Amino acid sequence: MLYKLERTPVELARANLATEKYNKLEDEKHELELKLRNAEKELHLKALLRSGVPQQYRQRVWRWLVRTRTRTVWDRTSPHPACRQIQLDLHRTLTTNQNFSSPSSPALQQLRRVLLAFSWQNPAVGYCQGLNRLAAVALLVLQSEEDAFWCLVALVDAIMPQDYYTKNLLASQVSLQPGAVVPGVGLLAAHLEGHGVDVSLVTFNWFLVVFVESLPSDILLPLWDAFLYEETGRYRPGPVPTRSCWCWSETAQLLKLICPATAVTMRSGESDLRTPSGQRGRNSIFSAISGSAAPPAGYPLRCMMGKGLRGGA
Amino acid sequence: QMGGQNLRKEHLYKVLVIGDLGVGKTSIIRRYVHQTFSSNYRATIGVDFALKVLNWDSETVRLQLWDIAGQERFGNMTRVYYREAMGAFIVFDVTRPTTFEAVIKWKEDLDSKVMLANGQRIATVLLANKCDQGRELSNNGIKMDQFCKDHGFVGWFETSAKDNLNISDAANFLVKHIMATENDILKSVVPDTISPQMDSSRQMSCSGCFK
Repeated sequence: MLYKLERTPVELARANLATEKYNKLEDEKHELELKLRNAEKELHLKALLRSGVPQQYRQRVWRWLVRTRTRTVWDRTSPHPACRQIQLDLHRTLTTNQNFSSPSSPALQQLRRVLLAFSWQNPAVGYCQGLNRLAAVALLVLQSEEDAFWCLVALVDAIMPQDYYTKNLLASQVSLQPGAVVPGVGLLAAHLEGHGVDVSLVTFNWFLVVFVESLPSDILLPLWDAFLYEETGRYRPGPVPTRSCWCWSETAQLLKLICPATAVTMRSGESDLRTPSGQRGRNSIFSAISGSAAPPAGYPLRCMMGKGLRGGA
Repeated sequence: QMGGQNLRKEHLYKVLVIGDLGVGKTSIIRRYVHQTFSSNYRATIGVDFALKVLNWDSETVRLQLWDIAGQERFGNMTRVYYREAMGAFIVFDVTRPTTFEAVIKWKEDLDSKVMLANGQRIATVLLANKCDQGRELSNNGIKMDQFCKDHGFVGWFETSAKDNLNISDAANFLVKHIMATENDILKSVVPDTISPQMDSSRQMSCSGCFK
């Protein structure tokens, strides 16, 4: 007690510093010893392997070696940063569909694996809200996790414009630019604009999820039929905005073909966009897909005559 | 006789609902507007809208609720979404501390992108949602009051969209603040203006003007 009282704060600090230094030295010494022991072990292992692994141990040893050599990949099985977000969105995907509405449904775990696999495959995108809906529709139709995964890859990497889902949603925001939307649906857009309605607030959602949960499935799936085959946004020359306009007008046309009723709501100001009656339009889509011939003459979709066409077969 | 209905003053307020992914923004709005709850509302993409009409004394208040997606990458678009907002709820999930940590980030984003005509910050209320799920905040009440003061929130509420706790209280509280700030703005914009008002008692007492 007396001893302690006699020490000034400076002395105390010095004593603490000394203890700290000593502890640090101890730690370093310990670490060095560990390294040395490991090095010794490594040398020993090297010698053992050089003299050949006994047949009965070869499988185990090889397995261990392969695992060690691929550690960087194996470490990836630790949770992806997007893992939590994916988890949070699982039960909030296609909630009105019976395959996804039950928390115990196997479809939810399939969806989780597809989204997680995708986030590893495309780290620049990782997970973007909306991909859950795309993957869910893919799962419903393709009935296979692997196929659904590739469908997601096709949509993000090949079909949608570059950077559509990346961390700052650069390309998808183009559709938020005033004017980018207008050409496709002249009258409707003008009408809404006249009322001070920013259409892009609504359309942003439509495009990001390719209309999943914006359209009923009997319209949505035929739209996807055409979309998966025709949409060539990624490879279309010209700046992204051109493509956004294309998307609008083309979608309006597609919708009119698939569901004549939507023609009322999506009525376009451009007279040259007039399409055949709904039934005829629908038939021409099916004949174009099922037949080996080129689409019928005068097929209304500009894009069918473009790059999307199967090499004139 | 003028119909009282026609004279009813109307207010339209744009109110933002922001906060991290999955904290219950959509659930709060659905509870408030549609009096329903579901544990699996679909994840919001971009922005969704809802309208709540309130009878406020003799006036009508229309709240245009903007339900904004919580994922960080949608944050680039918040400038567009925040435009002309009069008030905001910032929501966090009491069962997930990270969502509370994000509250400051959301508040800074809000204050940097939107302000009132007089340059002031818009009225913002902090909502501690999912309070039905155990974690009690009431013990931390004083800390929360201080937090609100430090970060410019007009107040905070523990809410549960599931059990319908405090949501309309929080909304009324926010509307009160919005109306107060609106009055401040009106006063500051036209400081030397007399607004003519009908004073029925005076009119009756003036016999000279009476028929």
